[in-house]
Amino acid sequence: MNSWLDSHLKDPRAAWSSHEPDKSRPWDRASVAHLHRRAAFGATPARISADLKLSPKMAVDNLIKGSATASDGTSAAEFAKFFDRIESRLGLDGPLRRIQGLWVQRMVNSPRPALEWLTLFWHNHFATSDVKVQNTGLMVAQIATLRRHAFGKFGVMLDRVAKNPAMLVWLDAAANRRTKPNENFAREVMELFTLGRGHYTEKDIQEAARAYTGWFVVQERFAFLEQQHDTGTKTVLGQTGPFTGEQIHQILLKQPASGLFLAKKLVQHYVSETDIFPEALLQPLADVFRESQGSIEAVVRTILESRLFHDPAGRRRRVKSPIEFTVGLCRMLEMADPMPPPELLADSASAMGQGLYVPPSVAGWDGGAAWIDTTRLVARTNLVLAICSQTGPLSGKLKLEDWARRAGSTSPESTADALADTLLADSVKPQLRLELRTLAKTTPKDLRPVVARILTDPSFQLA
Amino acid sequence: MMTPINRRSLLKTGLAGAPLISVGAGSFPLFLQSTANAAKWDTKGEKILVVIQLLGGNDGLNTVVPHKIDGYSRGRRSLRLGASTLIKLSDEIGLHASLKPLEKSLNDGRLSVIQGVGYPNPDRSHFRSMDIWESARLDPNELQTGWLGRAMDVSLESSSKSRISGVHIGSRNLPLALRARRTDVPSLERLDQLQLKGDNSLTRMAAEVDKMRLVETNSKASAKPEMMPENSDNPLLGFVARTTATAVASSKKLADLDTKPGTVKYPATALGSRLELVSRMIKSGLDTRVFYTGLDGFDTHANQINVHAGLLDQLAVSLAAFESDMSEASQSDRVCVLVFSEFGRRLAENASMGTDHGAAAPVILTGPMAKKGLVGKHPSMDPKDLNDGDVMYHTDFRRIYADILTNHLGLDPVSILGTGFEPMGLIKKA
Repeated sequence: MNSWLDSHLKDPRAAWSSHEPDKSRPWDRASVAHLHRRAAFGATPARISADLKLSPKMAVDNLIKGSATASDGTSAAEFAKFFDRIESRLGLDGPLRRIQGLWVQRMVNSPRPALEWLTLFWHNHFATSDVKVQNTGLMVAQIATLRRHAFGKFGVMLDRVAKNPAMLVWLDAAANRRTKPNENFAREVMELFTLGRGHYTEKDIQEAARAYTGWFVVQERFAFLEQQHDTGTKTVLGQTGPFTGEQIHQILLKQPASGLFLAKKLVQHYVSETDIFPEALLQPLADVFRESQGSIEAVVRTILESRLFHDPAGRRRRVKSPIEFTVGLCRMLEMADPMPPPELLADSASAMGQGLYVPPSVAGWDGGAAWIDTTRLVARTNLVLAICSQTGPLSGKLKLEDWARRAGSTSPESTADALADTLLADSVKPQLRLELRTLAKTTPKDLRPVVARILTDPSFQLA
Repeated sequence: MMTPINRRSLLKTGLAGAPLISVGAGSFPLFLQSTANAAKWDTKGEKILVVIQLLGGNDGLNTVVPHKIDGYSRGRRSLRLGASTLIKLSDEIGLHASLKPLEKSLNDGRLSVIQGVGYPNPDRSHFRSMDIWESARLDPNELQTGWLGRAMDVSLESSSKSRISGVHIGSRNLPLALRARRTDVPSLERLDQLQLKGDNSLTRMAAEVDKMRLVETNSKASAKPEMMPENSDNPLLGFVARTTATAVASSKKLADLDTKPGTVKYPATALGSRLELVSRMIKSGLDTRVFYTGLDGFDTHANQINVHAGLLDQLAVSLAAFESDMSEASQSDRVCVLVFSEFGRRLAENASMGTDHGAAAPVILTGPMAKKGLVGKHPSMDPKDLNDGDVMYHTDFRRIYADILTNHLGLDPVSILGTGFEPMGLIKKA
């Protein structure tokens, strides 16, 4: 099952070196589609054509920087400000569905989809649920923090997130008294945020917990209460001193395990959740992490520009998450403005197993094959049927004639081909292509059946 | 042996929208085969297992309460429960007052409480401990299948007399416990989640497409049903294709389920609805034999007392309703319910009026029991007997599984659990 990784394992440094397209691995539409599928939410035919003229490195660079303007012409900065403003106006107890819908809307329209895609990764890494926090204002503020630091230095991100009120409430750490340090918080910081299991002891957790004493949430804000802080010496991972929480983070990030842990998580997000990456293959990424003083952007760029990432054998090794599926089909079918009601799209994603702001546990969503089961697939199918219907609240936003015109297709069959090439890229088998053309011939004036058939195809569920 | 799925066979079942959507590829899932194999597999007398997993780590010490045993009151200064509130099991031990609805099952000899259950070197991570309980394997590299998944696999072997199929009722991902190699296990929370919904315009277009297909199929005798190669170079694609087939077929099957409500009232809670659905599936004659469900919220690190009482109340009221429902439908002798959690909680409460992750805990079984009431001794709470602040296990949980597999499901536990787990004789032999 891991055969495609075996060739890369022979020379891990070469695997993560820059991909230079050649005859056997050309920079073609399928390669561009792959980059956008993995680093954002997929690309429109026009975007694929544009990126085809660039080098892979430039295409990655454009994707990470984002477009200067959103689809409606507003500048990227204005776009971000607009959403931040609406979100903050909702206040501390705005309805959950409203903030879920706003984030979906932002992802569908954003000129920086790669930023939203990575923010979603951090939401899963620092998984916090409104079910317990019960305060949508704090939840939105947490995601804003994750977005701000998404491509930044991991150490800064960790300090900010650890002091984030939603996070502290979520981990029962909103009142960390000197007399009773909260081990749960220290445990999650090590187990889920930085090192992973097996790289620390129960004793390390107990000692680190003392460093976080004095950390409180007072009136929805982080507060350091000096008289509650344990100023004594602590021994954590072999180092001894009167550490503060921030100093604990520095110790954790100096551990070789932390670079490997983050490399593994990022590789799961961008490459494959089902393949097992041996440590030797992750080491070059951990090295990039260390040499760049913990720059997330440096690691992400290395992954996206790499030979391993662009190996065609590595395609469709990830199951699309429900948000990825939902936002992706909107972006690729250009249902951005006007789009189907975002709150209903968010509801659909919840039915498929991914409610934004409500991950199931501190470990986030299981992901991978766990995204796929009977009811979750029926939920995916039902979203597709609802979007393709002529009646109902999600219908009417799919403008296939406009889409076909922009894609430059000239007949129902060439539109069926263009839809398949955009949505499924190189995963279309000849038999399916034939079936899609037959569908297009059967109902030439209305290609909704072609879209329904494509979006429910097993290969569309994979990235 | 399994019937291949193709579009025509689904169309014959009249599935709305089928011509427009992918129907996946693979075999009909096991749990849908009752009608096809009704003659061959008589399911009426087959035993059924219902598993209720308490997620988050249930506080065993405040569920089966050792109120008179030395150490309890010391560890639980603010959370301790007094003898007068408890349901008496012995002079020293009583059940939490919220479990009162289960008193009837207890008095009828249908309930046992197995004490001190756990496994060697307890792990206090939720995820790891759930993996251990659900896979029944201590090796973290052996998590491909769950214990009930393997039970299903074994039952599919030709030498087996009856097949075991399962379904997960709940909103979490398919539990590892149900992951099998040879069959797909469906997962649902409510029946309407399996309903395919498209509007009339799509139904009309589906009919058009179907008409065209019929013409084409008749004109081309060689037309093949849509099948995807099972051994595709990407196993993930095969998996999604198979699950798509299961989803589409399940949708048809369960949409037709007899939906008449029974006379027993279930509470309007998460677990109440789940057990009501289990009951409907059992009473409709579906040949599913393993129903796996759960109740979340047991990770009570802070202000535990009311939250915990509420959760146990939900468990007891729902389970009592299910018990009386099964009794009314004369299914009691077929059904055994296993209630467990990934770990118990520490003896010493924390400073937030809650409890932290612990180790050994009691397990509850209801059904046709051979051993009733309290089984086994309560683990010692003497400080010298504690393991890192936790009570020690004396009964490996796999012995309970072995009992269920042997005495209830009629399977050889060794092939599923490995050797060394003696069945405990808890359940009457099938």
